[in-house]
Amino acid sequence: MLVSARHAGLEFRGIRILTDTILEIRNICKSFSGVPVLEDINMSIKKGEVHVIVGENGAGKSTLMKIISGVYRKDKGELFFEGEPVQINNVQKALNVGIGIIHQEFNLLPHRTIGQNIFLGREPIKSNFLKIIDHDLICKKSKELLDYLELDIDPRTLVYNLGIAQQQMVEVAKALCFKSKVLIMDEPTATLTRKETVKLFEIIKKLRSEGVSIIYISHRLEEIKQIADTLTVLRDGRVVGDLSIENASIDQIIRMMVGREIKDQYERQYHLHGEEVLRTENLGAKRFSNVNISLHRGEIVGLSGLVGAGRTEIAKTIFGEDAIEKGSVYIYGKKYQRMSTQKATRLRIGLVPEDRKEEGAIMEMPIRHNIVHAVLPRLFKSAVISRKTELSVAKKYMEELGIRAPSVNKLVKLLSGGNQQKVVIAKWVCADCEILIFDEPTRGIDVGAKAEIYGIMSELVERGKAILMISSDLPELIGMCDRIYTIKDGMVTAEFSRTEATQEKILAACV
Amino acid sequence: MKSNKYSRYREITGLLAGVAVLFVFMSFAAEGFFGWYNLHNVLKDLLILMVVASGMTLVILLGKIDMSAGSVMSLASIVTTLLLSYGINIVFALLGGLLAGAIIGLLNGYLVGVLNLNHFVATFATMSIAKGLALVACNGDIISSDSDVLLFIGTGKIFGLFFIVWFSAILLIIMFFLSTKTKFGYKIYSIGGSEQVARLSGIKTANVYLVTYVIAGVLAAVGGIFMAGKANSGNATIGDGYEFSVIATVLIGGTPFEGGKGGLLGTLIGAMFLAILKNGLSMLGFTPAWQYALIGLAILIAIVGDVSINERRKAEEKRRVGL
Repeated sequence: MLVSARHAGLEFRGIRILTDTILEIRNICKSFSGVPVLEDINMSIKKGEVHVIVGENGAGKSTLMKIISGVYRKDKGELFFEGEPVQINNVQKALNVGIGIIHQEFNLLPHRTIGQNIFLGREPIKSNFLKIIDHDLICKKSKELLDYLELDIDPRTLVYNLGIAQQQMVEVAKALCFKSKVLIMDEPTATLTRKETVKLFEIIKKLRSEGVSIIYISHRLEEIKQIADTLTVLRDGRVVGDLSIENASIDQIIRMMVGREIKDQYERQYHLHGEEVLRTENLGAKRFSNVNISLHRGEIVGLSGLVGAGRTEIAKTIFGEDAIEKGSVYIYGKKYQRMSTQKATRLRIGLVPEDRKEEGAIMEMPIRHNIVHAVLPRLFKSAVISRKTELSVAKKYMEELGIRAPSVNKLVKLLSGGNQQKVVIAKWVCADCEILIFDEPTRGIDVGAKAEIYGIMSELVERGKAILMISSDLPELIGMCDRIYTIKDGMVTAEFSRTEATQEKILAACV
Repeated sequence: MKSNKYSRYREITGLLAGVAVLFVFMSFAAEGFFGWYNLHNVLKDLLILMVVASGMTLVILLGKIDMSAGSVMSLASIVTTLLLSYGINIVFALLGGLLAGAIIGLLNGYLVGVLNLNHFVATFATMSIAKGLALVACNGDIISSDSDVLLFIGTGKIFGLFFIVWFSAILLIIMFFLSTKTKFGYKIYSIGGSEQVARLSGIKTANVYLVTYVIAGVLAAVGGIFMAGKANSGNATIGDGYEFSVIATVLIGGTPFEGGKGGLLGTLIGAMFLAILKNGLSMLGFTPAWQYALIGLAILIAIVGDVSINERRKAEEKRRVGL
């Protein structure tokens, strides 16, 4: 209904399309091996607007963006750019038309300079005969672009030496260099700190004021309010609604995304805590020092801080992946000055790492392997493995954690982010861990699966487990934790109880 | 959707079909190929190759490589025959040969698993070390042996089948069991799938590397002793270039360099393919020089085929994941 009404409106105001709309998407359909992924998508992007597209994983956002940017071909439908129908068959074509995309994973060569990356594949040459690359020109032009982006870095710096936020700016510079009129950003803030996000938003606003249209994909609903002009919600490959941002509430957006009501995301019951299971005493290592934190049974304790503050390092040191340099860790009251991942797992500590693709699960292996491979010594008394036990154990935990997959033989890489994360958690639940460390457990996971992960965490503490949780998502941290420590530059700066914690207080202690 | 097991099953049947076609072709085209005497010898060569390749399969499943396999074969043959020439009992001479393989394997495992050196460079170095030691020990000469036992190991028969066939069959069954049914094998697949994840799951990766390289070293030594037995003499060049045949066998068998995928069954079929090809080509009258080139071509075809199938599968998966 919504779609057709809007579409008719556009037809009616035919002239406005030409002047105002830069990219018009009409009746786009796409299916993969017979499975429809996009059905009849209609959308129009206006000149100089930030158009946010939201939707759960699998809603079709990425596929749509890949069609617009020439990675995939559409099955049906039309694209109009500045009122003219265009055929976008490949990435080069899209760039020439004026559509640039910044993927979630950057396409940069780490061992080349910023300038070389920006001009990759179309380096200016000095003379036509010898094809000598004009490095000075590259340098000069790159510098201009970087200045425009308010980035004070020498364009001769190797990309390797840049932080994530800076690398992203290089990607933006690359797109600008093509004079893109439409810039697609796929989850640009997923790996940025709050400060860097603010900076990125400034740049986006600057681009917008100069007439560049931004298509912005995000999972972080809080930031949408800050940045969006218009909003399109996708669900199951269809547009379920277009909203202008003034009259959209976050609750409404969530409702549209999941198609059902999510009551309270953070359902926790608070009990008196049990005995202390983990304590650090003046713990110090590479990126942090003098850390004193404690964790009790039945408790979720949060570590808040900016990316790079040392939270992940603290977690990895407790888990034995990084070496303890100073101080000690007390586990169930016993003092340890050296840890290893083997010792940690024997002591029933589990780590759900930040980077689930590299560190959490083996992507190329089936679910069953990923669930049981950390518990081999406990599961099988002798050296021999019983397939029957393996299967039944894997099935049991797959059900218990609600991993949605056709069978335990399914490769983990074929699952959605939320289900992958559940596999990682299942590994440690299967290992009957008493202490669980969750590092950014809901990053890149859609709203529905987030609520499920919170549910799992709540149930674990109900059963008397203890959870140490690292997150950059403050509402989630405040919603889930009994206590929160704030970390800044490798030091604990404050501790808040559930009742004291507010976003403002925590932020103030983090920056 | 396709599970992991299913596509592996298809891969195995595809490989087997290739072997069958090659076998039928050689039976008709190459005179003297299809006959018990010749096939029995093909079987023997195949199993020597397979013994060494089964160790290599484990190493490649870990995502690593062992360049020293051929040199270890030479070293083991020299150590065994040299000890025999000093009048040492055959049992200790054989153990000495195996020990040499174990020591080089341990060194490989230590360099790769504990010191975290690049596996290719490290085993390249030990390849040279083992070869050098073998040459120093024998002074470049062929060391002949007068041991009946060693000769029996190489050429003797039990119930009409070569001793090598019986022995290798038992060894391979053990290796199959080890790689598919034990915790150790499970850990190999975990580490090959992702060393990082395996370590963060509490698996002691260094130990797995050490043990796997030692197994690979010992199995290469067994191969070297078989070779020494066939000629009843030790030779420092006996295993020259053998590591390439072995690695090719593993790759043709569908265990890729990235590790974590594939297994011994594929390697066995890869060994069949290579052994039949080699023997058939010589029966067809190709000189060893030509055989090298043609076998190289066959490896290329097998791997290009495998890569293109894999790429297509990967592209399909990517599309599905990118929904």
